[in-house]
Amino acid sequence: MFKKVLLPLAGYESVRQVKEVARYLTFFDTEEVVILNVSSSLLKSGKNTDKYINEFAEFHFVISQVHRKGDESEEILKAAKSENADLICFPWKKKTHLKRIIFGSRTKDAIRLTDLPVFIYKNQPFSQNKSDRTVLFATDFEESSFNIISYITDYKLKFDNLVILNSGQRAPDPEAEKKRLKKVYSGLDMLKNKCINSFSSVETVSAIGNTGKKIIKHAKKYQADLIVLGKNDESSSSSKILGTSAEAVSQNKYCSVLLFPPK
Amino acid sequence: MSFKNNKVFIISLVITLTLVIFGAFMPEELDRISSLVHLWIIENCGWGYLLSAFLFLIFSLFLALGPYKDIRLGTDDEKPQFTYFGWFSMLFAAGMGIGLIFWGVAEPLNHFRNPAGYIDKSSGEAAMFAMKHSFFHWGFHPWGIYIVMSLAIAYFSFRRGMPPLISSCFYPLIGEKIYGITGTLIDVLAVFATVFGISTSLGLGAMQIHSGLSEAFSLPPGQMYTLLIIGVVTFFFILSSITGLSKGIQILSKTNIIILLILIVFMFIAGPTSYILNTFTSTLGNYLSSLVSMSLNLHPFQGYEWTKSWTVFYWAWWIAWSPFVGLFVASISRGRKIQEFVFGLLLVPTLLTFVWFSIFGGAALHLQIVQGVDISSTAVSNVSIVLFKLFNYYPLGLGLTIISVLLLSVFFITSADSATYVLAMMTSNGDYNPPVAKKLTWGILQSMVASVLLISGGLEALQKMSIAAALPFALIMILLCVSIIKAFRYEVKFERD
Repeated sequence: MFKKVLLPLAGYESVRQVKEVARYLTFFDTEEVVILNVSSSLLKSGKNTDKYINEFAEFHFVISQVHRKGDESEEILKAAKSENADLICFPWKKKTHLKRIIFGSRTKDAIRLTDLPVFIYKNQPFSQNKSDRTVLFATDFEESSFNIISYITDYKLKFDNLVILNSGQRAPDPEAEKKRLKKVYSGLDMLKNKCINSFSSVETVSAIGNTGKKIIKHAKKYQADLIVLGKNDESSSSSKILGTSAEAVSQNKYCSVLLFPPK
Repeated sequence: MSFKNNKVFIISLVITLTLVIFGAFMPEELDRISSLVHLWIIENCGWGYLLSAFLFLIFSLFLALGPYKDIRLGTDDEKPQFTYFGWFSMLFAAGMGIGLIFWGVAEPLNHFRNPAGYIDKSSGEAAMFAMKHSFFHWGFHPWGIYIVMSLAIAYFSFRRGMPPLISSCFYPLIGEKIYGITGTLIDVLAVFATVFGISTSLGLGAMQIHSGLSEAFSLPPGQMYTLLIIGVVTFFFILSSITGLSKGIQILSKTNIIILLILIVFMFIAGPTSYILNTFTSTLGNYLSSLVSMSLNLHPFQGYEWTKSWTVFYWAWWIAWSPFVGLFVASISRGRKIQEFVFGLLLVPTLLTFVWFSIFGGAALHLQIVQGVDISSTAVSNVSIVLFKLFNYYPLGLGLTIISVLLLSVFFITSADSATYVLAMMTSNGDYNPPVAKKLTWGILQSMVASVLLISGGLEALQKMSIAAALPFALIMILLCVSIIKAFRYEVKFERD
């Protein structure tokens, strides 16, 4: 699925967190992990990176390290390109809104700028022994939705339950709303039929309102372990100002997020 | 009559009657309460009114020039129901009508005599200030407010097939809740603002007709005559309302515009023509060049009192008036495209208003400044009579007074006629052909409210209550903008081929 993964580490991540990330990556069929350290203080970061490398040993990945100096987001994107990575993986660190506004967020920047899938690992242990794992897949029924559903079903990323969520805007009148809902339910059913054999249960949900908020709300409601969603290509003027749904979902503190690019 | 199907009608009727009884028997108490609310709103929410009125104007321009300009307020192949002349006549009659005749001379003279604190009274600068602010108060902003309301109603009812109610416009935001308490509250508030707004206007209009008749035929003062005028006009507008919208109001409005144009042309020729043209050109230039600064200036350091009592009052008044005008304008604008609708509303009635102010305000200022006749003191002491005082200095003064009284009466009838129709429609779940019984109820009730409060002296208190209703309506209208955009975005994104 994602054979080569770029893992930018800033140095503040705990050893346990990195180990959980590594465990997660086994579910993605990952074979090679490139640990990236972007910092102005190479010495300090390098030391920490060595500590992390030991944590990967039990998972038998091919490990390599890259050290770069400069703007963090920019260097992450450059490294992903030069290393031919299939996925960028971020261990998440909670930041207050104020901190995010002042210092920015490398995760958000990467989501906005990259053409690669992005995985954001939240501090949520994902045990192999867990028997009731739920993935929430948010869809807008674009073509990419069908590619994403294939990823979820065909590869090693095995979950027990799937929740397929569509969050849209209400139509301007009751008749149009009926039509919209008919379309939504038929789209949800189509996706459900595509993956019904890969999960113990598949549930479909239609919601109305702010997409980002609805995804997070339903992830909490279904106690999802992972949110999977596609990044929309056409960003509206409001999303340029307020951020896209993908960016909003990536900042939730409840569960890990796997984001796919539009194509 | 089931409560479920007539909840807006019953609730509004109960509220109206309660307030009328309150105003009739305890006018001082009503005045005290309404003054308190009114004062608080004007004192504390002025900035909100100025910002929102400006926002509505910008929003209207965005709609006319932006990506949604080609959306038709009706089905794609629908043609406009009324001709341009009929449409503009009705727009003008409903939107400005009595008010313009009432204030056409009085407002510039009032500002000239008592301008904002930073301008010398009765000076040349005060004259320009007076004209510019008269344009400002009656210009683009009121129509920006009307556009938001009427466009929303027209779009949701004619294009989306929903009942022509203000609550219908909130479907994209609250969905099925428009049929619940929230929707009922919005519609009741709209009925409340309309009944009290129109009753106040009718009361003031009747007073001016009385003044005109006193001037022309030496009619003695006394409320009996004012009440008689209300009675006669009520008979005519109810008659007009029962004959139906397309016939009654259209015929009356067209007649009125013709009378209005005759009066304008006569005054222009008989008056100081070049002075009027100079006034028009200079004021237009001044108005356009300082539109943004006027729109957002409350003069907090000097002149705040003036801004509060004029600009803020007007903005609140137009917003309070907007449910009625919005519903009426929507009902006559079916089949027009958004761009045509916005520019039609924004430019044509406004231009006629500017011409009216230039001719009447300009003529009055010429009399005051050039000829040295102190007419402005009359404007301050008795607003309703100053127009007729101006005619005394013109040839055929008596004829002009009679024509103006006729004009006022017809505006009175068209406004009340439209309001009767709109109120009956709003309280019949948006039925385009509301029952005659409801038209009669609202027609008689409007006149009753105006008469009772004229006698008890509660008319001004009622006007303040309408202004109070404007505050929630300003918020409702901001949400309306959001709802409109949501609906348009949905249509363009998902329903266009």
